[in-house]
Amino acid sequence: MKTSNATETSALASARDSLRGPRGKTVWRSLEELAEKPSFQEMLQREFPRHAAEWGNVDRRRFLQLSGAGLGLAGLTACTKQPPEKIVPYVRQPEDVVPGKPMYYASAVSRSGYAAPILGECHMGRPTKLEGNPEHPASRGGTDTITQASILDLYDPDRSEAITHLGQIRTWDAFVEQVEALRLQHIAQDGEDREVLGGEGLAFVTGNVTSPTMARLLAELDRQMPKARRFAVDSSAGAHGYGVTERAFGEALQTHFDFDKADVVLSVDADFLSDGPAGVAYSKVFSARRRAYNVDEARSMVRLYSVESVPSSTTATADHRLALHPTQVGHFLVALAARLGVAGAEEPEGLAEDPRVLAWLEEVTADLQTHAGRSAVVVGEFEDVELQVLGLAINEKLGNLDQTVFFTDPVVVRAKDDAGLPELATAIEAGEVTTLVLLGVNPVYDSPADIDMAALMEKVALRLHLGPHLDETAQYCHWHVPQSHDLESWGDLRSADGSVTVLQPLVNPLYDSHTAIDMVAAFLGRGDDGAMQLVQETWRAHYDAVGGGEQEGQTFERTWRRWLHDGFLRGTEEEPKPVSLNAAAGPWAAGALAGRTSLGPIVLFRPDPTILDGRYANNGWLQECPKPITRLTWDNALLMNPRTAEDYGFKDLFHHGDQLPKSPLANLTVGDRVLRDVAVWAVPGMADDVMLVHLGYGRRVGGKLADGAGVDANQVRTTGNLWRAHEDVKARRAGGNTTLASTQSHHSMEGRQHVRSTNVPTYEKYPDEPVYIHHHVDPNASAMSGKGLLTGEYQWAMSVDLSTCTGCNSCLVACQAENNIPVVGKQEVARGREMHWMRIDRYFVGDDPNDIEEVVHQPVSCMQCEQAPCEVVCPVAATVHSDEGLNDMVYNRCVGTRYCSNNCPYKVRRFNFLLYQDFDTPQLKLGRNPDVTVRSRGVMEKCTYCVQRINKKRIEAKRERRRIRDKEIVTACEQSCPSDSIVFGNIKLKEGETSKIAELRDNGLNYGVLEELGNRPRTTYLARVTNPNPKLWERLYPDRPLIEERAHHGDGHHGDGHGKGHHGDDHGKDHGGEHHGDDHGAGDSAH
Amino acid sequence: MAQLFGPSSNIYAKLSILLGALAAGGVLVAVMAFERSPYKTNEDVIYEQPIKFSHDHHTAGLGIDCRYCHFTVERAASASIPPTELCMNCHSQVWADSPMLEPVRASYRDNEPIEWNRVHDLPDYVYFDHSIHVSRGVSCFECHGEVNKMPLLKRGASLQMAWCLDCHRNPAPNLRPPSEVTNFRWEPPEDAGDEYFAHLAAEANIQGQERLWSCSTCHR
Repeated sequence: MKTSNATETSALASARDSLRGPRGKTVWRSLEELAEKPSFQEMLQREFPRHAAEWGNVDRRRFLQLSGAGLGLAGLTACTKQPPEKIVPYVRQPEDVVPGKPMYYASAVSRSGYAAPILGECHMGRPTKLEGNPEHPASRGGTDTITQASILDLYDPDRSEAITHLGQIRTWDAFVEQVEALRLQHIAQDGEDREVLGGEGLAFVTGNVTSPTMARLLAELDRQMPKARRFAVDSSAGAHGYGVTERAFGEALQTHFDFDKADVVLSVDADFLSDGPAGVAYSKVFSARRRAYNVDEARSMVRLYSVESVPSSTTATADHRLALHPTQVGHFLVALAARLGVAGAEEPEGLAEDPRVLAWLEEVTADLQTHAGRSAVVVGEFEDVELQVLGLAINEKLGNLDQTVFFTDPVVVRAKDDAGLPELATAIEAGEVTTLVLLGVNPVYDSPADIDMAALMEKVALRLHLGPHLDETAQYCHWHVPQSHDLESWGDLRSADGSVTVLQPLVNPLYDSHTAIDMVAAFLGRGDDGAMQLVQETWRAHYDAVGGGEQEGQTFERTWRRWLHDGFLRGTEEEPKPVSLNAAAGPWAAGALAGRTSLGPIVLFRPDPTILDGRYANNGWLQECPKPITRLTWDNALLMNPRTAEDYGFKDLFHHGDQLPKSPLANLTVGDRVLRDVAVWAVPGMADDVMLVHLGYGRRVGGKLADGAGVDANQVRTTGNLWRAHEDVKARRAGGNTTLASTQSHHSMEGRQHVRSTNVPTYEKYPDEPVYIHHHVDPNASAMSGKGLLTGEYQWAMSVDLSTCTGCNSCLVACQAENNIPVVGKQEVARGREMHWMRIDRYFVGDDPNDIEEVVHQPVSCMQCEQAPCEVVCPVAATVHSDEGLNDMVYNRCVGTRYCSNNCPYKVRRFNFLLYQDFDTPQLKLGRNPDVTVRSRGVMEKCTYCVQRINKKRIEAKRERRRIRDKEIVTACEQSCPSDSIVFGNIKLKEGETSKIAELRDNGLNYGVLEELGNRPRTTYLARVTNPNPKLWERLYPDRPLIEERAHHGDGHHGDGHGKGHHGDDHGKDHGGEHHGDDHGAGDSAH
Repeated sequence: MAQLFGPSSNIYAKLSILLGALAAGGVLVAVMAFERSPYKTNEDVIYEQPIKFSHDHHTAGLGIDCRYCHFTVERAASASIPPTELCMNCHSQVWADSPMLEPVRASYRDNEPIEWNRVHDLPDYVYFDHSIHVSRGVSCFECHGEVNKMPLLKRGASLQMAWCLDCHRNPAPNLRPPSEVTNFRWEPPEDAGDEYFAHLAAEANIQGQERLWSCSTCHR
């Protein structure tokens, strides 16, 4: 650390002692925790942050007025009679509909143009929850955050509701008429002899197109109007995918990784577990190879190295991470290629001077070579094409092609000549576009700064826009057509593996909305045919060509129903294609890498992890979902590591006094463009001099939630620097500061040993006790005795595997959707009042906040303690134990004393400080789960293990006179988890029964957080197992043995001292002193 | 100066304390009585309905089983209010011109649902499931009263939580063989004692009181 921190050194050192885990590693949640500021200590010891209990902008006098009135009138509420209710039965009841019983439909929602397969739960025709489709070959039931949240977009009250022309409401017929008039100018009619335009001046702008029907219509359009042009823009993903394979293999190909076959993976600036359309599929496969339920599994674990500038979800599963400046990342890959003998790669000078980088280069090279053919090098999709090509060349050299890396024909239908936004700008500039049709894109907002799309739009005579909102682009268009949500649409989409899903509507369009297919069909004179007919045509042709399967008596209609039922078409995934590397793909000299000649300030641009390029900016669930690593909500910020922030003049990034924490504002200058007033946020583990700002914020006309949140990073992006700007980059203090709402220090459980981890060598040596048991738990010791045993027929429990959890937040949003959890807004989150029942605690591991070793995520929700501390303090028995081990929460009894939350050691209870639920907006009512109470103000709430799902299955089983089967009940979080980290089930087994959860609770890795309190949590965790490279470990941490020895096993000394204020210190002294004295020295002297 | 309070004041003071306590108790009793009164619970209150539908006539008179109209009662939480189409199964032939049934025909003709007033209305935070009760042998009449004797439907019980718990605490005496749940003529066998009902409870696999008492059984 720099000199300015000298005074803090001793404080930091003592803080680190207290945070030191059993293996001498410091484990911490936030920088404040690491520095142990007294004000921070105070804050986290409070049940809620100081401001949580305040009432916003109400002064004392007003408060007294209101409370006086409240006291006087409170009794009146009891005088109401139950309001009368109507029952409105069907006139003609649809055959399959049973009121109160949900129906599930297989479909998909679009994720950057690719299919995210879903099963949609519908209550009486209202979709309420999206789950993954477990049968789908790619996603296998997993979903990502965005897919989970996309249902909220359907009910977005800010959606545009009517077709408009110059602001006047029009009908679809009127629109079709206008298009028809246009169309007749472009095509020749039979028997007519006149000049036709043939599509001249007509331009379509689409996002990524994977839809076969759309492709068919576009091809037809191309036939009828050969001069019409299409431009594909999608700012939510790296656009280079096919360019890479074109350069490497001479043809556009989809790149796939088969992590099942990989033993060693090197990720270079890649976040392959969350970015991109295949993130969920990769998570499923990768997590299966990270799972270590026993020593054998641990031995065959895949090893992940991550070389990166910014930590990501993928980092959270990495065994080793190396933070490097993007320039060095490029050089590292070139050096690696050179060492592996890739033709044309030259080892750069200077890089290997750093002993740490040298160790990495040598050991990773050796490891990759040892596992040639069973390794994979993944280069991030936002990296330059040449680096990605180099990644493929390394894979080729290692013999990984067709093994762990394989290629198929492209899934995305590209525009002719790969035309995109720059080509569109050029065409408009040249006056070649007279009619612009924008299909679900928003270039006026998301174009880089050097393309002034707003001005360009004015040069086009007629602009037609299809989109879900009257957004920035719609403001510049003559016609606006509301775009149907995918859950209202017929259509078809393909997943990254090529599998086709036919989209079926789960609900009739709520408004006069239409699909992109309808729009293009209008230009073919088929605007009134409807998307269903058009989609069916495509697949009837497919059926005629391929057939529907072997069964006899197969007809198209039956096959069609089969496809809709399954949610995908079997056998439509793309087949791997053999490739051979172009000799001309190289050469690679580090000095020749574009824009990678120097270090120094650099700014990266990435789609936001939750709202992407801004298309989900009006989605409250995604806005409030804490972003991976930063745990920020409702904002983007200029992210950099603490040292860089200090160097750039942003001091005192964290302080908690009487005010809400403030972050300084900066002006980010890139060349002659300035991004003003962007808040600075320190992110441990980023490389020095690297800044990152996410896209998607600073929307101007995006809806009530989108507008005004964050800053628009497109202002400093240019076509040449889409994902990275290096030249003339400065961040200067702008004066002033702002509050960012981050949840990273909320609901802290203080410095206890929550995250336990071990590694493969330790596991092998001590298979029965892979994790050093820090606290010896006497299972009979309990803070509260006298409670009888639980008598229920089933006993529910949950297990979370920390080895595989990536902190992707999918469970958090799934929980929100399932349990009617409200969105509270930025101000409330800043006060620590977020309502998520599940939070993902993120821990950093390492002594230096600028260079962290690991990121560990721990999902925490109500642990359903058998001896629950919350229950004994409730004065009205609103939280009591069920006989099946659930800590029941009775909303209608709760009077809001918050004692329970005060007494909860895990801080998993959430209180409705204000009326967060929207009881008025009609659209939102449609989306609520009718099986869960919608909570009002003044009520405590928390996770109930999805008791509505338990009850449903219990009733079903009882009616059928059988036991509930293992895995029959799937909680919302478990269902959505793309890495299968969460397992729920019954632990009270009858003779001959087995259950996954019971097995896991017997596993040596199983532990309960704070189980030393004697509260017997039902949610337990499987300690994290990492698979570090022993040779690299030895070189990186010579003072720290890889295998954790057990000299003091059974020492009763460890059991005491808990429940007092400062156990943290005890740990440090006990274990640090006895086992890891050297590390302290090493850790301290490094600063 | 004369004493403001004479010796008799003592007795008044004591009396007024006593009276105060009695009055407070009286108010409490009155409030509780009010809470339990049909005025508050709507028990036995007859609701106006768009059609004067007689359960008495259709069940006791015609012998139609409850499940003909409430056809999801055995497989779903909701018993179902019959769709208009179901009424028309008979009433397109029977009483096809009756002016009383004009709202039914109008509904069928115009595809406009009939809006009934809900008689048995539980609070929204209660998640009652018909199917599990019926399949355990809890008869319709236990909660809905003697529907077969109601020309116009009224609420057959208070539907208050205490009333629910009466049965959840001791379900056995309220059980029947599941095959008899809709049979309003059913009587327990002459010699049926506690053992008979205990046997029914065991047959139905009704678990211990804790299960039926757990808050999350009904509230979530």
